[in-house]
Amino acid sequence: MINLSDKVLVKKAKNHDFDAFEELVTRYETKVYNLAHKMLGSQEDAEDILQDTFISAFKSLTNFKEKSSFSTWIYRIATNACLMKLRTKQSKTVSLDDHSNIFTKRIVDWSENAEVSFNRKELRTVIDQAVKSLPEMYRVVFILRDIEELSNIEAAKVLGISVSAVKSRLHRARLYLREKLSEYFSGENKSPLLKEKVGR
Amino acid sequence: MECKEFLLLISDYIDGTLSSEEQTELEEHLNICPQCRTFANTLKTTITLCQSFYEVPAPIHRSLHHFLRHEWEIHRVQISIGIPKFPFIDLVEKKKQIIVLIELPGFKRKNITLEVSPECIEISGFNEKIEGVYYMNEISCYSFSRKIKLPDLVDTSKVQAKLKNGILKLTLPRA
Repeated sequence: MINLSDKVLVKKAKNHDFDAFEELVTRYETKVYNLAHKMLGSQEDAEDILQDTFISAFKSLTNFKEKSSFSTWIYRIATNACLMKLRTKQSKTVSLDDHSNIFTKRIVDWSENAEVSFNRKELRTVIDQAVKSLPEMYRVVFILRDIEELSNIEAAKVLGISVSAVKSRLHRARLYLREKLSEYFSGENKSPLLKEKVGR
Repeated sequence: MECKEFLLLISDYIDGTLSSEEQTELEEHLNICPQCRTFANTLKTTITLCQSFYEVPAPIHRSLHHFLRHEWEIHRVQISIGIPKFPFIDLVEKKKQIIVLIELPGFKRKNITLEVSPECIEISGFNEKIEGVYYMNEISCYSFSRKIKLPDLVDTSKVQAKLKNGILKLTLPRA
């Protein structure tokens, strides 16, 4: 099973081969779980999404026409489940500022020692909170592109948006996160992080 | 190149998707502008720092696989013995509206109960069965209940329902 392509496994799974489906689950469970954890910021919610995604996948496997890859399809199911959950939770997000005045601030280089000189656990919390504070359509693009490492085209297919929309959201999300980490590393906004006002 | 232009192109530069001309121009700018150099470095580091991955905890992995195997078996049994879904439903999204078509041949309006929440709809109903001696009895469904999850949240205050020619059509504007 390990050597088979996703495409072959999908065919086998459609012919009621659970082992083939399980191999697909094994290949994608970490990706789905990570996406959900980063999108929703909680282990419990990530577990729900993980389970719902794969249940939904096998129940609708016969309807999967294979026009897209299994990867795109499963990411689409997981992403929709995350966005749905977020809407029911009415999560609070911040507005992404216009970055045209970015150079009016002093730009400090913290890149050299960022990982070694800061508490890793705290840094991870700070990063997760910063990602979570992005508006959902920026957050999902950032996670798919820079964390799950999908291409612009794949991310566009998953989200049903244009490649240029992916690129512009990714760009703004990256600049926003850089700002947040700069604040943290310069000590302006150490924990609790991100106290800014909420609104779009 | 101005710093402002640099700022617009920095993501494409990091992704390696600039044209060779743009790349040369941007690199020239980086060589003479320490501020943009620092900006580029911190942006790259931001992306690297965010690239940590959450692994599925081992107990969650085990219970997921166990659960899926169990559900798979149930699903297969349901398919093999042909438990029919009733009523048949089409769920369509069109222009910010979710349209649900439900096949309900012969069902009277007064015998249908419909509940709509922002996330799902639940429909149940019954048909009066003629009392008598049956020589053929193929109509399988005289009472039913079905709950379906909607693909997006809907505004329950603006639901329209119309029963015509045995099809119940629900129009649900997205919230």
